[in-house]
Amino acid sequence: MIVLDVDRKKQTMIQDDIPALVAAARDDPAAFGRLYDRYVQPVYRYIFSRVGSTHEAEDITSQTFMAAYEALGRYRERGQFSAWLFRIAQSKMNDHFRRGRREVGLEAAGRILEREDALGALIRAEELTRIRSLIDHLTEAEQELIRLRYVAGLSFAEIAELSGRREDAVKKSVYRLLARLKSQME
Amino acid sequence: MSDLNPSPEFEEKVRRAMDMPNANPEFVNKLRNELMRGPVKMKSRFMFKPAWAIAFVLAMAVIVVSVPGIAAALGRIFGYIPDVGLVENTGGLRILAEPVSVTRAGVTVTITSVFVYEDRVELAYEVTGVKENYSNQPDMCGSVHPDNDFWSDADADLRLPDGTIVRRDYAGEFQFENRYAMKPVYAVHIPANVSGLTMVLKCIPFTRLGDVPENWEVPFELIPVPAGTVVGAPVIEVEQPTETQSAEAPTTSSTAEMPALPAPVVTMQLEKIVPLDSATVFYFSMNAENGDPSLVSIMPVVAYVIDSQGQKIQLIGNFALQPFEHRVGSLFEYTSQSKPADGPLTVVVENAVAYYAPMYVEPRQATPEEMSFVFDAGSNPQRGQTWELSNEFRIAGYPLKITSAKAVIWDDVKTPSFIDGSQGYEYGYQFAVESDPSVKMDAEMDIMQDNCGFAIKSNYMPVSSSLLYSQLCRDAFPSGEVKVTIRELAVLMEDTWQATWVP
Repeated sequence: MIVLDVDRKKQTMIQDDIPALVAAARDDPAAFGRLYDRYVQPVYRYIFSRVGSTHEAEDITSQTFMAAYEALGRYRERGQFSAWLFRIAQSKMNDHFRRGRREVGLEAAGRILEREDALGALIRAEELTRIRSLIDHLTEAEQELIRLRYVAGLSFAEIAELSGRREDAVKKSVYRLLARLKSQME
Repeated sequence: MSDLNPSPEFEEKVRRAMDMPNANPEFVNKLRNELMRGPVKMKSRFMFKPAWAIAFVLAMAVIVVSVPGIAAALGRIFGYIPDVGLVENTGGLRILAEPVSVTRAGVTVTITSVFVYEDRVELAYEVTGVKENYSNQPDMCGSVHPDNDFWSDADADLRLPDGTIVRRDYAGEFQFENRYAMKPVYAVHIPANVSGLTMVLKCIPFTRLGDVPENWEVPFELIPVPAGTVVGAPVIEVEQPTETQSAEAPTTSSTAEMPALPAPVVTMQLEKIVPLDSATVFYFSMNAENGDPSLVSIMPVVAYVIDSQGQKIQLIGNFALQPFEHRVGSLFEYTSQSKPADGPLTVVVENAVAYYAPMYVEPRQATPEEMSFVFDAGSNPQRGQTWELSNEFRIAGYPLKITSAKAVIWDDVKTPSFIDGSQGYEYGYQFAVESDPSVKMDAEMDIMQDNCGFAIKSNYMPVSSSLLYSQLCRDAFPSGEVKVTIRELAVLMEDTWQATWVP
């Protein structure tokens, strides 16, 4: 099932499917396919936001899902599957960067996208550019929080598990970051 | 906290500013096909342990206090440590004699806690004095990763007095616990006569190689936990019977076709209380006396505590809303938003959601065939075309009836909150689902085709006895005989449970 709703409660409820899908996926490739459908785009976007290259993002996305498929038998249904999957993605990216590829700034990665819709038209392009620039000047850990929340679309609970922090602490960190960004915009 | 809450508009701006392109559909389909061909054996290679966000300061305070009176009532649970949770006393527990630090060139590595169990050692350390968190670069020391079998220089090892090096356990029993760079867990039995160990660390996680001192060795001593000593905050086992009140259990109304069945009699059991300085932690379970075998979980909706002054204090759940991880009878951990007054405490749960998954419980309560229905969409289904259906199911006694299927496209069912659009899932069916009018439910269903997967529902919580459930597919409307499987049913239990503890 794919649900891209940003509503926290809705996301949480939909997450309830995942353990059953994970259990089924151990024996059933089709079930893994459903997990893949649910996560491939968030994982890809998250990776793209760090590598800024379609080719490299596709390569790392492939590695991520292949590794997840291979390791699924070792995944324990005690945490959030998404956190486990994104940890694999982080591992693959670190492997990638360790081989000498440089991480691109969010500004550079975002500039590639030229998506227009009604909402986008309402928000002035220069305002988005300014926000992106401010985010680009955050620390790596702060940028990562923003990426996980607004690019990968993870819930606070998922980010908390991924980062080994408490959910309320993650929420506070994100909100403080947003408050700081907003004050810098004014 | 509320003054920090960002406006939805600003969050949306950030989201738009961070907008990244989706993967090319051709790539997505190609990778999917590769995965569906079967397991892929990855060639082992050295992998850099990932990196981010494990905070430098794992400020886990270990408080050793002596409270013999309470300790006598502790039973199996030994204590509660913030950010750690309950610490079990399974016998023979040894702990760090005292925090120990080594400082070099302004950088301090401190072992803050060690728990030595029969089968493992849990260690936590922190680092101060590093000016910059440096990650994801080629010359980074590294971090940890639970999903591979390799080690990085950032992994803390344990050296025994005989020189044996113990590495943290990534693939075995404690794989899941080994997620944090500075909280290693070692699968090792430490003999009782060994009281001195050394933590060995080649370089400090997240630092740039060469920036800070490397090759750390931090020796530490263990002590047995003396009788009557509590590690962390004392845990009060609620051994007295707690009064559990509940309204009359709901039942379905009977019809000629579907006779009423009793709903589970749900009770709440308050099991542990941990008074902290600024809050109180409660552990309680939700149990079903006659729960259907397909019942997976009963999860509270609202919880609060009423103290001796009559104050009603909200309780915040310290867990993810994952029914499969909170099976019936397991403990829920809740922390009060503020410190209740001394005296009796009454924990109240208002409403709960019961989750039933007949195909995913052991032993399985239904086969996919039993939970499926088929309708004939014909060879060329058209948008708006509707099929009247009458497929009835019973899940744990609750009636569920599929009354129609309607061919819909993305534009028919999308909501503004789906900011990423259809992602290629454009065609599908909307099913009208009904239950007994007395039942507020939510269901999960699947069109059993690989190209279907995007679900949109009218209810995401059980708030109604009816539900419109849409699932969208790629390429085209599924045609011919379309098979749909019901995977899960969630039922709102409108009731109040409360348990009172008297000190």
